[in-house]
Amino acid sequence: MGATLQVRSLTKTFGEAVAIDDVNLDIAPGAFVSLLGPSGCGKTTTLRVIAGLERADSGRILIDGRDISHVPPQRRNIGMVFQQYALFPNLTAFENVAFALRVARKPHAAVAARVRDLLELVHLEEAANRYPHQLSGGMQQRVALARALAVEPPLLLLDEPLSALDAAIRDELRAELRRLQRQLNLTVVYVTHDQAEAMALSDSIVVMEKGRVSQIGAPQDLYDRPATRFAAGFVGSSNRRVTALERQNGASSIAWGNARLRVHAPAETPAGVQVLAMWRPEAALLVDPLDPEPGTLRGEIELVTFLGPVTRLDVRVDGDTEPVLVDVVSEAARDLATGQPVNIAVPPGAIRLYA
Amino acid sequence: MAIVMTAEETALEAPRRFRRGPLGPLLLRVALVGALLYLTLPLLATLLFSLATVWSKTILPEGYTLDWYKAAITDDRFLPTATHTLQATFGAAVISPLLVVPALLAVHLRAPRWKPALEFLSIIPWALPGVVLALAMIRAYVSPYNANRTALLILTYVLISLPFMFRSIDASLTSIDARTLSEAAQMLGAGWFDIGRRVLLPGIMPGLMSGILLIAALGAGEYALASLLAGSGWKTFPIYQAQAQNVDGRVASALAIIGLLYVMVVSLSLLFIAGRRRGGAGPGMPVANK
Repeated sequence: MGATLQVRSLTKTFGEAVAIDDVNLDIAPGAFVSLLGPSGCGKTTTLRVIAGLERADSGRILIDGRDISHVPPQRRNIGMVFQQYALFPNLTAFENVAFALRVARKPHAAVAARVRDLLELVHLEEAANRYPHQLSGGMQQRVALARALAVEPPLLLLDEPLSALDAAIRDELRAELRRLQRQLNLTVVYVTHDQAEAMALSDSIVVMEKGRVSQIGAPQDLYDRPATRFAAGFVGSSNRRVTALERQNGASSIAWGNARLRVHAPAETPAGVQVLAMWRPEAALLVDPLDPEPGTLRGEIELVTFLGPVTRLDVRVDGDTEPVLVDVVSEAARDLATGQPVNIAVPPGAIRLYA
Repeated sequence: MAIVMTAEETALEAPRRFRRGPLGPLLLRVALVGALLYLTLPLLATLLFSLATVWSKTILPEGYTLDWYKAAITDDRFLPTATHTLQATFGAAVISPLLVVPALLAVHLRAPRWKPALEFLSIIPWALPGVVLALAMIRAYVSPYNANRTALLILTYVLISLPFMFRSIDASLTSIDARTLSEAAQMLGAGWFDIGRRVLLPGIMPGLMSGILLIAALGAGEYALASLLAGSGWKTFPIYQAQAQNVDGRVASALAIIGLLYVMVVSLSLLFIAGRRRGGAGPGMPVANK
């Protein structure tokens, strides 16, 4: 059964550098939460402080309401999976999984039964007697996962566990991880710099920037309504420009290249202020180039990239500084080619503004 | 249809890559045989000489005998000098890891920035000629404090073995990523005692073994320090060997072969111990390489 995890005002510095700065988290039992951000954003440090491998300068960590801030890592009963597997090279897969049970002096028969169950759980029954160097990366990470689960920790921490693996194995293990987490009802904190991974796995994503929490939300929320400039830029593909907000007869608009786009701006934002405007490539629509409406971007296709279900167009908009990205359903993109003029309409509701 | 190659499949490909082309294998074999001859011919000659009745005007000895071995072993000097060498080796093999292992663990687990300093210090004894080192030890400890010369010899062996011991254990700790493994063990509920016993000790075992092996080889062949430091009061095996050389080359050859057999036995038993502890040799785990 998963535990609740609460992190209160966690702060940690390494010398002069602030690694994490006033981080607060509330994680419900059985939730899968990802800490997402670029390298150096403090996500791994946060995880290591929760594990007890680093000591915070200030702040508290509570598991099921109990303050464990001063409990040494070996007594926190938290499972952890490392990026580079960290299997014991002198022990077989079986003995690696048995490690925690042996340290806890469990009876031999009980250890054997439990380890067999765990290896079955990660589909590695037949690899029990192999040493880590005889296993592929994916298999090693499965062993590491089984090992972390041996003493039934209510909280599992994973530090970029898939980033050292090939794409195909990564996808397979990602699904496996989600299945296990649901099946065992584990509370999971997952560190990654890969937003697609975070989106696919998480109930909730914590976007971190420079040691601080930038936004917490469900994947869909985060994608549709990024709350900060940083989240807007980091999560998903987007077209972003810094531009001045203008108002005329109660209608708001921004300049984009030589054209103007209508936007919904909050009433309190004054005209003339510099804002960051952002819209997603799939929000735009191609309209008939022979019939240019006001409020559409005119441009020329620079690059056509087939991505399977959608085709991505890089379009050079007249008077703009860099190409904008437009995703079109591939079915409708068949006749599009480089050099072709297009008109792009962006619905005002799809454009988000950041002060 | 895309062909997906899994990690297992690519891993299996690797060992085959040296088998290409007809010229490569031939050259490899010639190089191998050449190196083997170069290394074994002096040994073979020593072995033949130690078994020869007379070997002066012929290509091969005129006759064979074990008399020289008998003479070497039954000599009054054999047992005491062999015992002294074993004692010196054992002493150094115990003290050296006691100095090196804690220091290296501290550097690997807590303070990596001290490693270059430690590395530099461990090299110094190796850079000094044996005679200089011996005289320095005498000037520093025997002249002013009248230190026990036997103990001093053992400690000097420790000093000389530091670079070997340091490097081989350092390589072991690096190859197992001691810090991450200790953290993984901690997260599995292990305290420092369990981490030492179940993770670090097996991890450094190969390095420890090759370090000890090098001390054994040092003790079996080192003359300058032994004669200058312990000298006539506490003769070691190499001193006996040198004395025998002045009397009869064939007895000296027999002693050389005995010394060699000793190092071989030590080396094989260390390999055996290391192999058993480890269960199976893997990549990145150095084993005693002698």
